[in-house]
Amino acid sequence: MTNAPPLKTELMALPSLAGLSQDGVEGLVQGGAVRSLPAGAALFVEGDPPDNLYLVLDGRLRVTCATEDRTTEVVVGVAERGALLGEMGLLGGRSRSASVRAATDCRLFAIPGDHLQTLITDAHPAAWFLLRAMRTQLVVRLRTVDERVDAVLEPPEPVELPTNRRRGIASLLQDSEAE
Amino acid sequence: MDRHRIEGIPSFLGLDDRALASVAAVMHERAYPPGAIILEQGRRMGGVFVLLSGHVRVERRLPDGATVDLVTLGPGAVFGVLAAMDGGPRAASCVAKDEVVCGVISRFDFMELMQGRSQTALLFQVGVLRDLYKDLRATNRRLVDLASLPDQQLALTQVDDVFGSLG
Repeated sequence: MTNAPPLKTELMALPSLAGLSQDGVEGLVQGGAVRSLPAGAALFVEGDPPDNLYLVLDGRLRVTCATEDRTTEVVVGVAERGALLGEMGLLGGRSRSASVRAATDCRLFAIPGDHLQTLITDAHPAAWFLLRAMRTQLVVRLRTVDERVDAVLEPPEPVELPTNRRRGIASLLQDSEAE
Repeated sequence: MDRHRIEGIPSFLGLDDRALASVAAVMHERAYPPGAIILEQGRRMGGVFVLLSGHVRVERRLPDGATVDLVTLGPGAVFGVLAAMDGGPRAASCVAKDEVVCGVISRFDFMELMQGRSQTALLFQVGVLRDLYKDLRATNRRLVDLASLPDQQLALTQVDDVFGSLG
């Protein structure tokens, strides 16, 4: 704990909170706390009740969703310094829709959901910066996930493969009949 | 537009009467016949739409030219938000399935609300974000469902590699 800059300085230096004022950062620090997470540990798991909003101070985390049969974990996002995590469950007020695990040792700033709510209803300067960070990140995520769905979505393929195979067998039969 | 017209809209449930009135004040009513293209994928024009009555089909054209129906929206739905927020091209087309009436907020007025720092503006922003998170949940779910198809495993692994290296 020798070289870490003061928390307020660290928060104000995050690109996602650029321009955060002194009273804004006061509001954040009053209600939140720093949390360390070792590589491999889960921050939260799909289905958990939402508790905190997290700001990544250091490190890298992976956001994954499991397939329905739980055989495959699909990476739906990567979070690094400045990224927000857990905002989706908090604002939606439902369970966590994805799992988040630390890919490296991480430090996060945790803001409890009820503190976030208070900041918003009080129109505290910190609330505007958090909401701006959320929408900037959300727009990028939505655009990225649309492109990824396009990349894997080829409607004819699952249907066409067996048809092709059948056509292949049919043509073999015709060939052998012709012979 | 009268604030009563948008009172039951889920995205605006957090707004008090005063906030609702200021949102309604920048909203204009527009009607569309069945089959009308309300928003066209790839275009950059238009504002944010609140579906007051009727149904809207959301369809996405894929790079190979095929079109996939994504969802049908009913009264109370809000659409066109993503492109209004980033000024980018529309991610999908929205087509009237029957007689449709929308409340339309221009991009300028929408951004005024999205950038405002008053309590009204912040509550409006939360409502909009909530809607978009719902979209993201649904799209993530689609992506994950696609991953369950055996043919897609390889493609997804490759995309993961690209995604990981970008992160």
